[in-house]
Amino acid sequence: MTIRVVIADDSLLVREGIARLLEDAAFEVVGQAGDVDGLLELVGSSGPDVAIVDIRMPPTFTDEGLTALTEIRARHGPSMGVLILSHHTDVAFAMRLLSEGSAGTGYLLKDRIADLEDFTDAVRRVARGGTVVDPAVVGPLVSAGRTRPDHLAELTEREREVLALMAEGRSNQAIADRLFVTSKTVEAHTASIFSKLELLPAPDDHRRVLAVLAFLEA
Amino acid sequence: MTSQPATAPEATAARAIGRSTPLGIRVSLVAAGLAFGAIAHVDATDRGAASAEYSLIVLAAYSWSYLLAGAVAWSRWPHSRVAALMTAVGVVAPSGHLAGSSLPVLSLAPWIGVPLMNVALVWLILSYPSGELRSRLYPPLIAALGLTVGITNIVAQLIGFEVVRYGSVLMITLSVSLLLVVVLRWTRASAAARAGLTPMIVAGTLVAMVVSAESLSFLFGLPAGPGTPLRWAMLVARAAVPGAFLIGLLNQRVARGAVAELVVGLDATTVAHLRASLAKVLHDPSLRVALWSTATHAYEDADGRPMDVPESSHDRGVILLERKGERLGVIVHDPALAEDPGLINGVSAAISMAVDIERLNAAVRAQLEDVRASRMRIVEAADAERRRVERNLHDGAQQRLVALSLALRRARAQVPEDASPELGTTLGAASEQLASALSELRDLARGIHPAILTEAGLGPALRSLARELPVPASVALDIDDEPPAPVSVAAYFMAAEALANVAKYASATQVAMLVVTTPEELRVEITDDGVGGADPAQGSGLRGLADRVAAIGGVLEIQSPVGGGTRLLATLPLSNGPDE
Repeated sequence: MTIRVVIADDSLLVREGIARLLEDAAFEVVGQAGDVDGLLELVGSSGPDVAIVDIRMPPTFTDEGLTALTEIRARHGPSMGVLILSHHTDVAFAMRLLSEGSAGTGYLLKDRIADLEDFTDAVRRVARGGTVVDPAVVGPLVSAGRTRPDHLAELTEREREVLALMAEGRSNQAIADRLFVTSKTVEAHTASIFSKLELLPAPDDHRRVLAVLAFLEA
Repeated sequence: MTSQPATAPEATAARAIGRSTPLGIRVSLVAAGLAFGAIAHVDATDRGAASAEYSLIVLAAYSWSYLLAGAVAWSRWPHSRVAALMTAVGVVAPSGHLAGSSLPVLSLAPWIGVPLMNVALVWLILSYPSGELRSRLYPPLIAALGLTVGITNIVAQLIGFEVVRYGSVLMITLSVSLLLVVVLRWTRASAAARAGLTPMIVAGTLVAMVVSAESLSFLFGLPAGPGTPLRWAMLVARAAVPGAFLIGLLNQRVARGAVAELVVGLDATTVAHLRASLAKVLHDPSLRVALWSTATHAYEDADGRPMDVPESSHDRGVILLERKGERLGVIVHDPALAEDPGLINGVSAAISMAVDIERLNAAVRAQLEDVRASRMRIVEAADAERRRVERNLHDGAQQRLVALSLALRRARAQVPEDASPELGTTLGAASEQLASALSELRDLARGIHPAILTEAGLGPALRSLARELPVPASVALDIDDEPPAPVSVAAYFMAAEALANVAKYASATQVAMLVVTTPEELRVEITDDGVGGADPAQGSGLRGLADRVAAIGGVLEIQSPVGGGTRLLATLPLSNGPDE
């Protein structure tokens, strides 16, 4: 089944670039918008699976994408995927974004879209109701690991990798595929991680993202 | 009430000050009094009219006490009319000794001298402390006393003491009148003036009593000769009069010490404070002060209302305050204060200086405020410009590079795998370089203006700074409301610079960042355990930081002992207002 996408970005060049790329990759681009109002109208009329939204749009070029996300969630519920693109990434902002409802929400560094596999993977995951957090957000939190050295230091190298992938919003199966291990092994790792970090096991993947990010960001 | 402010008060001051009596004249007069006393003493004792002791006691009570008090008062206040009058009493007083002198010239002396002495004495009482007779009632009273004494004396010499009875009745009447006038003057005086009139009441009462007692002793034949208690009492009372006046004058001197107190405690920041200080020091609750407003060209009182400046009159004294030809203000005061011109001159000099200084202060404050405001505007303009540049980078270069990377990616996808592996590699390398360029551009943009500050707020922005530090950093944030943009930006750049310094120079193993807001201010404190020795004078980074903090009215403290770590504390006011 073809994934139907709308794109909102104030730059025509970027919009067109993304559209071509996604069409090449067999997505269906059902519309483009240059601002929040245009996007909301487009979403209402065409009912896409995913809206790809630049965070900075007219008029203030600050966090219009977030306004659009809130509005889409209010009008269309959690079923529609929203992938927010940003020129820079920050964990606090990612959490603000995911707190609107992490299911079907993604936060990706804009540079990432040139990496076809990562980008199309993110769009698909969001379309399926998954959560996506850019590795650039998670990376410094996990690798530096200085905020809670007492806890993070207890993790093994592999557990740390699993933690990063969890924070990026990946499911156990996706993590298993990434690391070339079985899903059972990943489950064992996550249980160990939650125990070592003294976190309560989260009931689903998107809530797990928030829990892990909250731990890392604190 | 119309005013003639420029001339009236100065005229008052000049009249009140009067002319000072030259030292030569003062010395000559006192010497003349002493010489006259000596002659009278020799004459009286030679004739056997009095014992030497009694003669000297009478001279001391009637003449020397007055000469001494006059000389002391004169030496301190050369312009004092009271001193002149006291000296005058002392000079003519010995003439009483010469009644019945064998020398015809000397025997005439009491006829003129005794009335003159009484005239001078009553004048002194009624004019104290200014030396001016302020009522039309006084000259006739003085003249009546003088004439009565003179005529009674002459009649007594020519006809005999029996006739003196009628004169005595008149003298008692006049004494009671003097007492009444003195009491009346006291009751009519203002609160400020009464304190200075005590010597007058004392002296007036004593003189009235002495004269009445003398007259009564004549009338009823009471024993009043030398050695009698009544005579002793009269001598003491006479001698006490100049004492009372001298003490009064010295008390004025104490009041003038209040000028020093005024200068020290003077608060000229507002007209109301100035008025309060003055009214307290001068004991004049009715005192009014107005300062000259260069804006409205009028005297304005404590409430900012224009004040009419009355002409100086018998019921209002007016002092104009000027400095270097510029109008400063006006004091409207109880006229009693003008009786001590030294006090009022000292006060007006002190006030003029204080008002002048306050004006200079206000001018400096206003200039400082201008400079602060302009520095604030410069910083705000610079911040706005940085935001603009950052946005242009984002909307221009960054977007174009992203679009370009997309195009490259597509090109790569369009090249068939087997057609040209080299082209694929080249395009892949180009993509990677572009990714680095984008990453560098992102860092550059963030250095110009941190978008995260506007997108996520100060707290997340500071946390993100701390996370990137290669040194373990503990962050404690207690930020109630997002501070105004200039404050967040200053706090952010201060933290960024401080943390960059820690990474570059401090060799620290630990950094702590503490950010707290109160309703009034935001405090950012960054402490490390590194090598210390940071000096704002050395690097432009800290210097620029201090400037930025100061521009928004904040304070940056740097403690960095060599080997003792570095502590930076920025205190940034949350309100833009300069009024603290």
